[in-house]
Amino acid sequence: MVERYVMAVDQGTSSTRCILFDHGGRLVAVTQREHKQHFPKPGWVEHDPVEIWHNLERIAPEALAQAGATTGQVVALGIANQRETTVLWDRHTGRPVGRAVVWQDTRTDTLVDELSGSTEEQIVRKRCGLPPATYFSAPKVRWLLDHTPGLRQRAEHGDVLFGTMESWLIWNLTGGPDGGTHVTDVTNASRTLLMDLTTLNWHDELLAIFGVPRQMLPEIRPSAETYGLARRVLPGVRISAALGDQQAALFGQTCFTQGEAKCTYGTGSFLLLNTGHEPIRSTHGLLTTVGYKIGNEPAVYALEGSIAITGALVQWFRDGLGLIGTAAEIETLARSVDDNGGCYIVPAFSGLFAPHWRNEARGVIVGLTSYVTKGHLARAVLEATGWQTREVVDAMNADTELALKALKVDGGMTADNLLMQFIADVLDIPVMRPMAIETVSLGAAYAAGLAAGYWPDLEVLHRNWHRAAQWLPAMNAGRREVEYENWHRAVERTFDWIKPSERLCAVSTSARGADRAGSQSPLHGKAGRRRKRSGHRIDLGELLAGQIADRRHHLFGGVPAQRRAPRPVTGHGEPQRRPEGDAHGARPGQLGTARKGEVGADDPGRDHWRAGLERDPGHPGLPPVQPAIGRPRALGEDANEPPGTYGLGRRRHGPADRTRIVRGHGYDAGPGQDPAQRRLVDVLHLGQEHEPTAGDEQRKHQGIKERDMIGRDNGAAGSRDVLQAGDLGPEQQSQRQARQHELQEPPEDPGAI
Amino acid sequence: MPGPIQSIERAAAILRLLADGSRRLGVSEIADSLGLARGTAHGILRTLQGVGFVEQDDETGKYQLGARLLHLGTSYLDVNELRSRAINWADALAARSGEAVRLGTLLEGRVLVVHHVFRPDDTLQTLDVGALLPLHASALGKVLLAYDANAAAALSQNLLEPYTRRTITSAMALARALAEVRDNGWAAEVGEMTVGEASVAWPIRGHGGLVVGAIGISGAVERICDGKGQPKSTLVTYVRDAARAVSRDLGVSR
Repeated sequence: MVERYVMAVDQGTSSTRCILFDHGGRLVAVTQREHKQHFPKPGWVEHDPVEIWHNLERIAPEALAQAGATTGQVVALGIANQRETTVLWDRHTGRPVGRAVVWQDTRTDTLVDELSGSTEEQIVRKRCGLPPATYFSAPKVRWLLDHTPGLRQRAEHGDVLFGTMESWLIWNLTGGPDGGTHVTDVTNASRTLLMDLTTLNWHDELLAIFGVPRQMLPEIRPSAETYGLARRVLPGVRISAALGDQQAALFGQTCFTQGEAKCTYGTGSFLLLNTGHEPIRSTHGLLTTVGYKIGNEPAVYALEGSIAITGALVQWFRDGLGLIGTAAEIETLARSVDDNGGCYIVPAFSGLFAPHWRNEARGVIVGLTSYVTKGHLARAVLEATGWQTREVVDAMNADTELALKALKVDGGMTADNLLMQFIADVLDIPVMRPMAIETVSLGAAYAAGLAAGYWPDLEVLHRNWHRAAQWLPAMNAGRREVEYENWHRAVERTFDWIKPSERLCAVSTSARGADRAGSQSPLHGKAGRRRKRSGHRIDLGELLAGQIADRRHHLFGGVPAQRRAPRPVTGHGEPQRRPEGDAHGARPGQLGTARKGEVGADDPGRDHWRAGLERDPGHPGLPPVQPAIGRPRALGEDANEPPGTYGLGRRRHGPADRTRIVRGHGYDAGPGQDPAQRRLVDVLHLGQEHEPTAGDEQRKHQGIKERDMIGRDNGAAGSRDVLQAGDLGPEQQSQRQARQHELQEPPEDPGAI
Repeated sequence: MPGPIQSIERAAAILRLLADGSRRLGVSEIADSLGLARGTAHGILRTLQGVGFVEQDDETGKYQLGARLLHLGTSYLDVNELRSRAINWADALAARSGEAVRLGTLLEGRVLVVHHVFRPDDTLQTLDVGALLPLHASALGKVLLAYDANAAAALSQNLLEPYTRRTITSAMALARALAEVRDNGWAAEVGEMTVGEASVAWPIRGHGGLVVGAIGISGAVERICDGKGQPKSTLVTYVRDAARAVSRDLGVSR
């Protein structure tokens, strides 16, 4: 019997790969071709769609040749692609309208700025689950339509087509100008800012906002479904899947069950968590996205934690510093020493993504002494990826109230054993690599083979998943805590490097906004339990009103307080392990109530005095983060407390707080704490929006939720800010301010309880 | 016996020329110095560049000695690099054979395990990257010995430690076994390191055919071997295909 295969095309940011898989999901052939990166101006990144198409024309037959197979042996073709990258082309000639605008391209920043603070922005957030950002496709389309003479007219006449890379390739494979099929899939469409996340259709309101004519859009199809037969390159081969690359990796890791997550380590790293059939909106800096949709089955959604720079830091170490010859050699160099020698590298090369979303941050190397060698630097490079993963996992745990029990990893960096061990160490959970690190391609192949009947169901695919390697945590808990705290301190030192001019705006109104915004918190409980909030539900309009407050929060509180301050230790110096069965994955002392106390990050009043500091040019800077302490301290115990520094916060918290929140110090609110007191504090923090509930367990959840609401490390709000920071001129600022005022609801008395 | 090979002599002359100079040289300068046609000089330089003995400056296009020439004595392929090149094929081999896969290189008279893929049955297994295996009692080791005369010579002077009754303990028997490995192109070991376990390995070759490591599978004798106690030919073929795929990757990318 002739062997039959599924072909996957992984059209990535730097190269296009073509991989053949057999029925066991085993790799049979791989071919790859890189394409040129065009950087015509600072901040611009372009690819030539024709070059990418030609690459596919070459590597697909090469892969067949490598396997000694013919086109007839290919059951189906699935495509995974770099997401958001935008191609416009002429329907009649097949020629692209200029080069593709790549996801990293920031040319649309002013466009996105203009949206900020408008009602349109609220609509975008609500419909798409994403903040308007240069990252996504719609602003890129708009920019091209605005800047190419006559293009809008042609688009309105239906002469020009839009697509992300999978659309472009499918259209060409199925005939191009000669009857090519113009389709996209739900995962790619979910990254355009033009699709309604719940209906999975293009939405007129969104099209209007970005001025995109409907005629140019592809049809949105499921991720796994036969789109058509190839007429070029692989004539007769059924094209039956398309997914964004990160979603494809989720599929390839067979994370088909709600609560399953994977992290793909490449240039950047992306942690995706299957959240089931309902989109979950993050309050911790994560993105809401479509995971996949198989045929007529309901779509599966995902939460995404995006880390911009991981593998790219190793590349920089190789190309920028020349300290290693190949990326893999970083492990050799790192193993030449036993630890990081006190050195930390935070690769905020273009700001920080999840969970911080701070675009004004820039990278730092801290802790340098004469002792530090290139070996220590190599360690610090790898550790940066570990700690960034930890931050995203913490955000994920907080958003879902489920602690990740193990992390499935894939991508090229998983070949680095030292790094994988370090990730297991800092997450304190097992890290598992499946028997295929090419999970992006595997996911596309799985989806295609599923649609073509090559594989019968998800269960079979799930059985194909095998553990190829596993790393178990081995780090001493005390060291982990100390190192994590050092990492936080290093991260803080990246903040505020690029000085945005709008920092001083709209502070006095912002605290209230921040307060209000907090109530938007559709958390998701383990048993599908969705907590209803009493009081009025504040939606995105109000969330928006809090944006400048968010901005302020990002300046100082972007790291959730519990991650910024050192872990409180309860008296007996031994650091604590996560208790079994703690549904939140929070360590003792990390529960919401205790977190609130730390550094005042969750205290809206904080913004006021922070503003005061900022406005005072003579002020040397922010006070250092105070270490949390293991016992409550009385007000005024610290004689050095500047008068009025925390005044507002104190007033707001009231007397019941006194023993707990002192100068922003937190202390442990572990299991031993009096539940009544804890609840009282909860109530104080929640103000009138909180309806106290019965039962300890519930209060624990409440604690988390409360932090979610008040903490401004809010992805939905935060990510937008980040992508704009630093780009506003004074004029835009005042416009934006004015908009903020318009949207502001009548102030509430923050002290009212 | 054939005479000296002209192009190798010319290559040696180019290296001497570059080693003498304190600055980089262009193709024309080199061609003029040695009285060669420009095209000939260019061809030799490109080849030398390919093996890393010569480096070309990106901006000026001029040549200098390559860093790899300075490290001729040391292992030219970083073991972590080897792992990252082999990882795809090692995974596929494990999935196909149903057995655990290991990659090994020579390290001070032992086999250093540089990569390990679990047997794909999701049982509890421990990653043993960094472990050292005996050269004479493992399939990986036999492959590495067969293609490294120095290592083989060094080993035969020492006592060959017995691990089981089947371990090869005489230098003569080992030499015979290694000759057989070179004839077959692959090595096997049946119960020679651990009773009831067997392994099969093939060499991984880098540029010019240099053996840079070995890849193999290991598992229970009854799974690895047929009724006659010989490794199953399908498994041997799987390992061979993986070894060739890794070798091809190492060859084409430099």
